[in-house]
Amino acid sequence: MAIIRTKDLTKTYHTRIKAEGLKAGFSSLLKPEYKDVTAVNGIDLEIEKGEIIAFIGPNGAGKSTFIKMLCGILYPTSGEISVLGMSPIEKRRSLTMKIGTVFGQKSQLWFHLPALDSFTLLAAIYEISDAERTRRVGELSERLDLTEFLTTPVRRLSLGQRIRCEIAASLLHEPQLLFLDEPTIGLDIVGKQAVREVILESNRDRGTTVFLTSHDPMDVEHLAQRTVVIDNGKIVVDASLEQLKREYIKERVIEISFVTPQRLPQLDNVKVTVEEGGLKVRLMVQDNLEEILRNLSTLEGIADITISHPPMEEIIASIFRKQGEVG
Amino acid sequence: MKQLRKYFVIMRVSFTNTLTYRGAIFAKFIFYTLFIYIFMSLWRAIYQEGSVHGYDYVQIVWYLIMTEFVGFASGADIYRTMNEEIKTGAIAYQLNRPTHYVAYQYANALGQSIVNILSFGVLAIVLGYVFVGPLETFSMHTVVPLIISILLGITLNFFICMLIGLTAFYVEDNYAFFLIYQKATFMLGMFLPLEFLPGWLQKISQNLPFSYVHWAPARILVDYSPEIGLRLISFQLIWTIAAVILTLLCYSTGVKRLVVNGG
Repeated sequence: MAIIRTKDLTKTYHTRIKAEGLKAGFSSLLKPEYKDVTAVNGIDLEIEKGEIIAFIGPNGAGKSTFIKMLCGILYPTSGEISVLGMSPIEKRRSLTMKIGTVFGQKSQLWFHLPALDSFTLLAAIYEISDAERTRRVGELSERLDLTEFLTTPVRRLSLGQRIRCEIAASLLHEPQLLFLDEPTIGLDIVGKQAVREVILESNRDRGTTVFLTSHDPMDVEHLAQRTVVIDNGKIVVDASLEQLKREYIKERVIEISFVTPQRLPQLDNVKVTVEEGGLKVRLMVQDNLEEILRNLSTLEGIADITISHPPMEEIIASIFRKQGEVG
Repeated sequence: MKQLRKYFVIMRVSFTNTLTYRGAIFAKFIFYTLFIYIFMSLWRAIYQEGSVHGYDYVQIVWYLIMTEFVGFASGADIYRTMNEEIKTGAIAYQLNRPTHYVAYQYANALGQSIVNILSFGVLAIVLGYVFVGPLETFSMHTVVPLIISILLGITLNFFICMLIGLTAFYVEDNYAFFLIYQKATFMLGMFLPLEFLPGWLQKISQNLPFSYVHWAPARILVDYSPEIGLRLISFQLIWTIAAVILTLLCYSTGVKRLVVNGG
């Protein structure tokens, strides 16, 4: 059963053009000029129950607008939406009982009060009984390791602790559908890992459908079974994790600093950038990581070496490049 | 029942949260005391003897204590909160909850307000006794109508502030509306009793909502009679109902026009 279905979904903002200068300012007061900006441009998407889907794209691609239409917060200009079999516009408030949201950059907890108070408030809002609330808070605090600081005012928590409380807050009413907007932003590796585990567990144990946006390629790699890339309000790629890995995230970046400038051995299938007169090199490696590392081990005077994934922006860029070649 | 309970819990959490701002409450205590003291001195200079427009010196000071009490107890935070949330798009997070946005804000503001009603209530009575002594026209019959009138005044103020805040759905800058409202309530009852104004202005003002926020409860406090109590409370009730209806209408049509800024 498709849990989310959109058909030709479009949102156009009608915004007023702000004129610069005094004279233009006056004339725009009398005769304002408008322009239309299309944020979401005819998106057709179907998401099945129990899927974890990553929604990625550059800033301003229309991700947030799309999510807000799915939640019923924004009214679409045209097209159809059905979420959990309902129209978000007509049934916004009954839909909120079944969906959970985490916006990494916005807190839903009361800043001066302990997280436990916020949980009590949310439980009342979502009409959860006291006994049920105690059970779920206990269960979530155990899974997310919150017990120690449940009664500490939120303003005194570390970012990692706070985000874990945010996730618990959005899972309290056991939503069938979870929207996560940059859930791991600003977290350290341990924090990211904890958040990812809870999301996966919730998906596995309760079949929660997860709709995720992130700029962290590791989030996409660890969580998403399917990735949708959008740009300029349109879907550019809709691929499974396997497909995406095969085609896009297999790249690794090796950065090496040397004590003295070195000449690199001949390497196949590698894009090399030399910086600081040979003191620093940056290699874009495709799928032959092991072989390259063996070759590099013969080098002398290595001060530092790091291996990392290309940043999401580069992956997106490479997706767009491929699209360009195909199209 | 569950519906009502959730707003009660919002109110309770907001109450607890407000208690954490002890510093701000004490700062406002000083401001309130200073304000009353300055105006008391002004009135003392004006009142060499007798009474003005039926108010004697003790009554006018208690009058001022009451209007300022309503002002400090309700506050205009709710206007700023709603205005900001609509302008910045933060309202999106509130719309994601199974609560009515207006009811949520009202419960939240009420929770803050209860802290202020209790704390400033005590301060107001202390100041009145210390500065001018007991109000001789006050009797126990005044207590119930006075409390009803104070609560209606605060509620009317909240809904007018919410209504102005909600105009952010339609206009880019609604601060002018708020300023007009603030000045109108100040001139028409908060600063001066309505009886001090020229007759024609009194008539107009009695048919506008502004005087029913501060003037009505203060008028009931200083010189209560069942007739005046009934008349003022009925007007307060009518204007409050009108403000509630307008606020809900403005919200339900406005939310459809919502453009969430910042994508």
